[in-house]
Amino acid sequence: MNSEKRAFAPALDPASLKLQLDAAIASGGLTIAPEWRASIDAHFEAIAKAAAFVMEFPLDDELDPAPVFRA
Amino acid sequence: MIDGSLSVTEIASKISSGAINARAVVEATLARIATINPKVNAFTDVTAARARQTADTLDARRARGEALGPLAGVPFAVKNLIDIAGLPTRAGSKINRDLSPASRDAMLVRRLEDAGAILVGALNMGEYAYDFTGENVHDAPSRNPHALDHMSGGSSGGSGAAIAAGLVPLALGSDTNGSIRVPSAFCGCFGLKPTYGRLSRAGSFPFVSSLDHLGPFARSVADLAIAYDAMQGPDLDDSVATDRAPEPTLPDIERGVAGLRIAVAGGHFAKHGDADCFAALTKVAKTLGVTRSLDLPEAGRARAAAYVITAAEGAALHLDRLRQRAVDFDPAVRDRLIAGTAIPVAWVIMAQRFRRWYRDRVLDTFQNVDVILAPTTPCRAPKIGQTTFVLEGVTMPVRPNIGIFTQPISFVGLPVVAVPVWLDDALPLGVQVIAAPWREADALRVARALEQSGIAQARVASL
Repeated sequence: MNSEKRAFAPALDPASLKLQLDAAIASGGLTIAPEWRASIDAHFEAIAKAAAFVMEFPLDDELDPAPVFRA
Repeated sequence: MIDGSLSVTEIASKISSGAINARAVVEATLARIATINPKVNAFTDVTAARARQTADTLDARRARGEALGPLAGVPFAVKNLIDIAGLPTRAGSKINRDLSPASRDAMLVRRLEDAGAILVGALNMGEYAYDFTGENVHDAPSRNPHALDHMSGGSSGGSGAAIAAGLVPLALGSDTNGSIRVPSAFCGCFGLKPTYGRLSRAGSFPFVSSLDHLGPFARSVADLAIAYDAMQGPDLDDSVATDRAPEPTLPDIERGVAGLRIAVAGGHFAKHGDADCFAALTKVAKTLGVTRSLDLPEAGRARAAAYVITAAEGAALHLDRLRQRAVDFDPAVRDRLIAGTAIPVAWVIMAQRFRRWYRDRVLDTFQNVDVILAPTTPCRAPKIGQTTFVLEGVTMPVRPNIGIFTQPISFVGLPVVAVPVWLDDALPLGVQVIAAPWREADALRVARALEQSGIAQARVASL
């Protein structure tokens, strides 16, 4: 099978991350106290950096995700 | 004399021979817990009545001439995310205390008791296992028995503390990213994180199903092997439990290291730690005569992928609790979980695809090596409440970085024996003895050789 290595790194700018977090909090029905937000933002930024580090690594198209369900 | 230093092997042998009875062991254990636990805060529940009843049943069986199991009369305790019939499985949280009591014991508790062991209680842990420190805002921190103002490590902090304080000779914990290995290093005891899927997780409160493991803590390698062997076996109640036949390890642990190809992990594992952690690793490598080093490719990226998967699966698991009872979480855990709710699905799928790639490279590596050595933690146990530490001149947050060396290993489910190493009379450090999947016996053989040399040892703290 012909395969192509692909990589994609998510946007890491604070405004995009904040939008993403705002949407998750709203759609998840979460109630956030204002004083929690800085800590939550910092954690999401750390997660996004980790994700970008993973996603910039090119992988073959046919590579399965690790957990494979077996009937 | 029944004191806190008796091993699993010694207790089982004395009880089977009739030199002591199980009730006496249980009474001595309960008395020691009553005296010492207030100092270390390892136990959150003591199941005294149940333990006395189990002991009396065991003594009656022996009086009738019945053969007792390999763990005859051995007191043990379990991290409080493991079901104990009659208790709510709190998993370190305030919220879970409102759950109905567990209707039956977790599979591993049943298997240990089937082998003759006696459950004496449940152990403190970081909330919902999202922790490397052993701190807990609801139950207060478990404390390092070797220095009470220092962390026990997490999230199975009570398990490490109970072993190092001599409260029990055997404990169970869970390990998603390092939660058996970190407390083993900080508290100076032996811990075994088996191959992913080897020991049933049925009846334990989950954290990250993709990465969750259960395993034992003890003060000797033989004790780990006996307990591990007693807990192996298939279990349809855990969807990832293997259907491989049990592979007993105890017969192999005295075989020495001859014939095993051993290397030290370089690259990611040769950076990010302080001088002490590398000194401990060097001491172990020198004892084994290991001069070879190798690289686990992209181990740093593996850690990052584990970080993403953990945050996403943990957040999904707790989403409704975050919606209903956010104020009842430990703030340090709550804020990480809320952040995890915003992770796009593509990030998780890509992390799981990277996991497949990394697993293939790691399995390739094990074509040419049997055992890999790496530090367990980047430093000795920090002080309780400490939020930053300095590694290689860089100030870093403590909580997420304690597992910098453990995460890339559990990410692909490799079996690891965490061995305690003492450089001096101060706090211990740990070295991970890592084997190929399903080769727990190889890691235990190496750990046993290190124990016999005196380099690896678990000490009972003077309290």
